[in-house]
Amino acid sequence: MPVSLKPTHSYLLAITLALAACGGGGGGGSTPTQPTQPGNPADRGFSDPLAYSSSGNASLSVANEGAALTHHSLNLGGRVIDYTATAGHLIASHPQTSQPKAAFFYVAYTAKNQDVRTRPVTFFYNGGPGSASVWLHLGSYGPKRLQVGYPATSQPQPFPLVDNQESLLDTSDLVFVDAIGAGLSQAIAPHTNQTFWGVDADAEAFRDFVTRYLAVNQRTASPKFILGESYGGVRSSVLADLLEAAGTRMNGVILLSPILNYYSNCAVYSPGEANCTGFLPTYANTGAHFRLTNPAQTDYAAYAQQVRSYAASTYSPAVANWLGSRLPPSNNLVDQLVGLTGARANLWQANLSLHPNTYQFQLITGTVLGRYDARVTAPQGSALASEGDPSSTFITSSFASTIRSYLTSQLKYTAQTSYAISSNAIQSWNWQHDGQDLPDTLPDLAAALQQNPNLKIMVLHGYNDLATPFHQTELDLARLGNVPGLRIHNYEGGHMMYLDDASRVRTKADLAAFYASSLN
Amino acid sequence: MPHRHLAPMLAALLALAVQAAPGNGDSGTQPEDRSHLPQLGDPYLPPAARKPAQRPPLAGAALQAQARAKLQQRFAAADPLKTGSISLAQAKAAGLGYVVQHFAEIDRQGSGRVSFEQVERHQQGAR
Repeated sequence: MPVSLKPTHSYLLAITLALAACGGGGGGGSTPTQPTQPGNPADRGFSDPLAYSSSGNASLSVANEGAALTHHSLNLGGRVIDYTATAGHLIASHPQTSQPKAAFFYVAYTAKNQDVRTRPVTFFYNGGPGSASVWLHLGSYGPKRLQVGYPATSQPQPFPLVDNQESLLDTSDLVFVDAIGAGLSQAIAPHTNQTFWGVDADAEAFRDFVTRYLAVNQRTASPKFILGESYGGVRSSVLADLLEAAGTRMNGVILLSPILNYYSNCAVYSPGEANCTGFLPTYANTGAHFRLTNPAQTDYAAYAQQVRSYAASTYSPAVANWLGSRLPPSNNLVDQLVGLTGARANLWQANLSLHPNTYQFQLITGTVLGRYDARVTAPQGSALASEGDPSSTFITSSFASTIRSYLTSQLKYTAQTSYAISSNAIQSWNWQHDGQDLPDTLPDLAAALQQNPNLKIMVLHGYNDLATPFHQTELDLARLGNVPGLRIHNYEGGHMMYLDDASRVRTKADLAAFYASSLN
Repeated sequence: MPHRHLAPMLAALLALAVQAAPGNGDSGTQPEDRSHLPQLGDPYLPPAARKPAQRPPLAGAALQAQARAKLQQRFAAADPLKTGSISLAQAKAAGLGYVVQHFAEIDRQGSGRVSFEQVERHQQGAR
């Protein structure tokens, strides 16, 4: 029997007022509702009286759990999904002391008339650390998406916001939540944002947000998924272990272009410092895209397999040897690498462990390749290349401006400050984890799986991502040994492969299959 | 397998060599202020944070043992007197939600206490 999802707005208001009363003043006392705007008469906007800050020392003296609730529908190829959007804050609190930690900003999309015992709920977040979750929210599987049109760069901006035919709302309810200091999420006194700018404190706060969301919305019985991108991979691994320990059984962890181990991705080190074997298949497929390989290659999957084998048998041992000895590589080896990737001989001779930054700037003379999506290019010296990554510069202003107008006009949520697409957390992040200076989160994933052998893991990567290369994740995950149900998918495109129209369709189909396999 | 093999001086020399390599231009330079970039140029480490691994990355059975040790350590933190088992109250105080929720099923004899091994068996046979 379907159980209708109860709107939580009035409940949230009660909490708002209670917290304002306990907080001892400070701007939280005014009535949080505003007159209903045109649109669905059942919509209830929310004008948050608070201002939020991304600074490390920022701290809310009073917080609220107010939210705007609006009604929408999405037509997915003839199937109409009626849903609510809830935009506002929930307070994550310490599980034992109940001390409030932070007010997390989130936007939740909930399909109407579903059985909460079988309807999945998925929590989405980007990485950075310090990034808001706007990239996933407006680019991937939400009910609306920005029509980016990668890898072309001739489209006018801002990109149109369109109904998303690849929305996952036909499969799961979707919660986009921003890290503390990003979006409109902020720490609550005596904590500051900086308190949660570390691998462990961040993941613990996300655990407490998930716990709060599930309790407030009566979703503890629902199948549960987390989907994190990039640094969100580290966050997801740590979070999965913490949630299992806390008794929140997860169904699936979706790692989208993740970094899982900061010691194994050579991009975070300077050129020549670390072994870049994990990048070789990315160089090869990107060279194939630009028709620079010899022979030419058109089947990415087959070519990736060929280059993985070459990397394991020949390239990786040669790089290890070179890092130790610094002896020039043989002409034969260099010739092979030139043929496989299209990168010139002098680059391999200068640094056999070819760094992605070098590849990005040197593969094609006078052209800068995108770091996030190497297929997106710009002439050296052009405005698009000025920040070092045309694929990121091209999309930033559209995402930043659209999230702000979308929250106000469509979701009917406003605060005293505008949505921050990032904080500066990355500069003062506490990277320590598990007794090491930097996070290696494979033990966390292993611990999550030991606690919940039914937990399923899915990985999505782009073949043309020079930030988190797909093969490095494969090498990292191989450390886990056999993981039943593990699915690894690679797609044409970059770090945000969902911005590629053809790949987004494929990712959606693969995600739907993964959800079906994880609902046991 | 160690990831970084270089003494700092050698690394510095190499960086110079790479910079000086023909056709290499200004590659490898990244803006230090990344606040304008989507996701802040993720993944990225500020230079001061770039440190070598303190231990080799474990794999296979050794990794599984490391993960299990992590779980044992979490359990042991709820058992300060090292009795080898914990009560429901101790599980609650330590935030071991799984143990709290399933305490009665795990403690089949009704002893009022559960061991790490009992919890582990329950988790791995559960559902």
